[in-house]
Amino acid sequence: MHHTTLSSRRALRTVSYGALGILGGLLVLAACSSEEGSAQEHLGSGGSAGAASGGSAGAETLPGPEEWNRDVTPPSTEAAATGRTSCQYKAGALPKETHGAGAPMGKDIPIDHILVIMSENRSFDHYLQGIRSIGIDADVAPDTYTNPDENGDDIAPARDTAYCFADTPHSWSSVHRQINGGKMDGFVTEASGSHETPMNATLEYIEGKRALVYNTEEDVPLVYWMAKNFSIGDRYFCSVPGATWPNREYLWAATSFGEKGNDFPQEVDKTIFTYLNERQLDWKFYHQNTPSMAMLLDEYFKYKAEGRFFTLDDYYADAEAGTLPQVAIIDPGPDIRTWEGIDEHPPAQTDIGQNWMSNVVRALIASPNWESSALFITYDEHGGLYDHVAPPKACPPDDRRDSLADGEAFDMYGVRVPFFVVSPFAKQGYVSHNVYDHTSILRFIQARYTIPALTNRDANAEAPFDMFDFDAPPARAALDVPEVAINQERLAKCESIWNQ
Amino acid sequence: MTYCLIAGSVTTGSIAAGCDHKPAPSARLSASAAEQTPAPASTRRFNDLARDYATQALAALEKVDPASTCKLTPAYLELRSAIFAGKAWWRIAEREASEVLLGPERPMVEGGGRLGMLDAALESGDCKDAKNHVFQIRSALRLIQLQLRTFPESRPKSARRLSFMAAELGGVILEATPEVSLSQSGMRADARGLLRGLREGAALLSTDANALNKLNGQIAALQSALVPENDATLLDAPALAGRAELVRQTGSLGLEVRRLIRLADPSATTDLELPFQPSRRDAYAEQVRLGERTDVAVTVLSLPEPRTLTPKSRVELGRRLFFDKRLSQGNSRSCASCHEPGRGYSDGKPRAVSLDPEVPKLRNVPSLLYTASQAAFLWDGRLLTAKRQAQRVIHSRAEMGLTEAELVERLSGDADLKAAFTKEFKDGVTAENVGTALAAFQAATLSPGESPLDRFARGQAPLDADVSRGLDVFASKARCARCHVPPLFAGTRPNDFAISVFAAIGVTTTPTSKQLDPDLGRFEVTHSKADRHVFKTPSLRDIGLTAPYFHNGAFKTLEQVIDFYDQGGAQGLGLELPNQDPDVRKLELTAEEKRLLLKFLREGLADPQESIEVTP
Repeated sequence: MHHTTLSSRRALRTVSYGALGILGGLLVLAACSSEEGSAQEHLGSGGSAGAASGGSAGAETLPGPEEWNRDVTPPSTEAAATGRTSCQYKAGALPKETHGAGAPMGKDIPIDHILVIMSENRSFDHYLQGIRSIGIDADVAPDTYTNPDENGDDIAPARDTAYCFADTPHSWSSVHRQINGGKMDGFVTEASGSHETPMNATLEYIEGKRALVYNTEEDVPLVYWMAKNFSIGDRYFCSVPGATWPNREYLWAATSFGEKGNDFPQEVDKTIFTYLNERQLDWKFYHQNTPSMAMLLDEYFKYKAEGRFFTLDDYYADAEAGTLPQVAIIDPGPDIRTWEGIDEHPPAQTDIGQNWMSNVVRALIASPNWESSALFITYDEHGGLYDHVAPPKACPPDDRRDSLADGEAFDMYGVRVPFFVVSPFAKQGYVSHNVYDHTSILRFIQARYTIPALTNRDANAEAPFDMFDFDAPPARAALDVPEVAINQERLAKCESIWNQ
Repeated sequence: MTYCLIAGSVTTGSIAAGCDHKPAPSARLSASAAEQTPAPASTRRFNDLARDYATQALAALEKVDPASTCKLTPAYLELRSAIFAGKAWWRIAEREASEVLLGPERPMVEGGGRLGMLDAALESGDCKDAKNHVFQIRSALRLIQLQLRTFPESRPKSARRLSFMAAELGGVILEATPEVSLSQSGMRADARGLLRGLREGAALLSTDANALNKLNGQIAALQSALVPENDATLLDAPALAGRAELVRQTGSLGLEVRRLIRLADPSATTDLELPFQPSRRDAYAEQVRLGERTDVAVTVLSLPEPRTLTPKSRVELGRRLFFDKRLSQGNSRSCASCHEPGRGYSDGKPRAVSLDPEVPKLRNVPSLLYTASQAAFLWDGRLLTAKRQAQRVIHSRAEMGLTEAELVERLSGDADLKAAFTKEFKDGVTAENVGTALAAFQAATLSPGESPLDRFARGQAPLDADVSRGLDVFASKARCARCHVPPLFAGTRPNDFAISVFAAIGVTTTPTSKQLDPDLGRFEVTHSKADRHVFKTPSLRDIGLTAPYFHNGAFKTLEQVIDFYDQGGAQGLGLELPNQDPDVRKLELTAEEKRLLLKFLREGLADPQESIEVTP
């Protein structure tokens, strides 16, 4: 039913897009200056999004550059794997050219709604250290794992009892010292050297040891539930051993445009959104505060004028109505009150973010779009929190080195972060051990809609196909997304510490 | 000009003539009556004002062309002024862009963000990276401008920032904030920007003409001290004189701002609007009653209240322990043996004497004065609280050398002491509780706040003219306040005193040697290259008592210390120290400036001995 609605709306949009594109943009700007909510609502019901018949891609010709629709003879699976690990593929390579004959492509991927949540600053071990307790065989820090503290004493991971500890360092140089040449033992000393002191707190909120705390099923119930019911990846690394912006830029563009820190990149030529528009796909960016792609400033201005940004409430409405777009970013964004952010960025209390995320997941599962949806959930970087797996070599995206010093390159992934696939086609309780990074999500989008690689990084990225079973999706019992309660007692304590 | 604060009004007068700080009942009544009818607030939003500043900053930025003229220009000063007028609200509405522009509010690495980098480039005349700084500044401003269209404004929170701006102005005048310009002209532009933001922001709070007039009168007075005398000095402004008095005026500015906040919102809570809670002594001295409420003047010269206030009995227990030699191996020393009350809680020796022959070389004993609001302990800052510091020293083999078990056993053997512990703590004698009690003692008694500067800041006494001029040198040409931040003149900053400033200054093995002291300092904690030869910035309060100086105790006099800074640290001697703090540079102080600086340090920051000394 909803497909009918969608295609008729899309037809309408084609007209407005072609005839009124620029004018529409101007109108949006004017509307934004008064009341964002109403402007977005208006756009949501008849705005300027692209026109494509999402359900009928694949063999047929999609709109866009002719060369994207070129005939491809895929390599063998082995040759493709070797090609990727040796960084053989270049920007412009189509997914079929880099994945081999067996990989699903185009409409063989029965997903019409690809959704992405990138939350903030949690490492794999920090969230999933206890995952074996529910029978999921993922690679977590062994019992012997320790970090030396500033006095040389060994510190072992321990359960988080602060719930809103001070942010841990995660700049380019900090992360390199944490990785420490692959020893993965610099988290405590690095955090010892760096902290914000909450004035009303005890030492556990600021000591170096806070980098070595983990959560349990009680603390992050949704994480455990998703691992049990869907797929996780235990070799999913963030894209850059550095901070938020460069990592997010890899999700938007498969490069950080030569920037290794939180600086506005210059000369941003293209992003995944450029290509989604070339394919005339329907995409939306749901967010609360400043959208986390705003560092691509001109792109942000452009797509804001195009009416691509929507509130988180709009997501729930779209999910309920079955009008989710073909590609959606659901962005928890930074919260002004840091301890209660839904993005889970320390010092945020994790159950607040888990509560929000569970609502998003619940709405998706209840949506008429669920049967053809895949939600990828990951974290921009590890935030300075411990993980025991040394990041492997990565393919440099391009030749840009705007902020790189001599001897530096974008040739190593960052630290592991949690990665979940929530979809009716996701294998159940499955752990992928394939090496993925943020550009693997891009590669999945590209595979579904026959879009070429943006840079050499996503060209050599593998799409996380092994986490799906498109032919025989698991028969699942009723999916009861856990209600994640926000511990009010902890919240009151965190507020007393951080609300200065 | 001096002033007294009486019952909600600020009156000018002479301190020498004496001020009555007791609230006058009649004035209290009239203040109360005045507050019963809230003035209608402006309908214009703070976000609109803040967005205007972003627009103005962008317009000014378009005229800044560091590539062709790598020096200060009027447009650059306009840029700074607009940024300082708006940044308090920008930081709420668009944190990340503000951090690109100015650095984080509580920076681990200081430098004032991209604006600070541009400022440094213009100051040094090296503009090779300036194009990128300008790009980053423009991008940040554009994003801020855009987000302010839709950011949901919290009026109380926006108003609160006005109170903080008044206090920040004092920090700018003393050149003691991470964001303040490196140049005198830039600093004045920053201060003028804050005043502008205060004036225009206050106008949004209330239309009460009387209250606004009073505030604007104060703003105008400060403004007149900050504007250049003529266009010729706009870009090459002389160092500001009489800063102590200007800073004090920021206190009454804050009071007036908070009065407006309460006029607009009678339910506003004074505590929340204060930049920080001043110590009880400061609060008492400048308390202002407004109806049922009280307010206090807070400036960057007000001492903060210690973080933890503890019962007297615990303080007394800590005092007993402090002088107790049983806390050491062989009953050889107490805390007071190395932290001697008569020597500013230091020991007068170059380095602490070790109990352990295998650890022969310790560092200079740091003073325990004013540790209550510091954020890192020991020269390398490896400990984060006074309690941990106390415990670490007791257990360190080189210092006091007791294990936890030995400590507990010894103290438990003293029935009287054991009873005191049991009364104070549920779990009686433990190593943790020993640390807690010692820290309580330090917090409660070792921040006397009776120096001439403190008394001046509280309106209790005038400041000696040379001490005042010495503070001017301290803040400007000698660049001291950039790291030794008031009010503690240490490495923790208001408003939250949360983070400790560390720096590499390049201390040599002796005052006359050309050899870098080999101690790697904080590098031993963080293993970061940037931390080689880096040490904690200690407090300069009572510095006259704590010779010899620096972590190696190799500098016997403050004259030697000032000469060391004057010639520019290690780099000034031609030594290799790539991470030397950029504010440590050749100063070219005159003999008179050195004299004034010494006077300020030795007298202005000196507590009377009787206020410091504690007896067993």
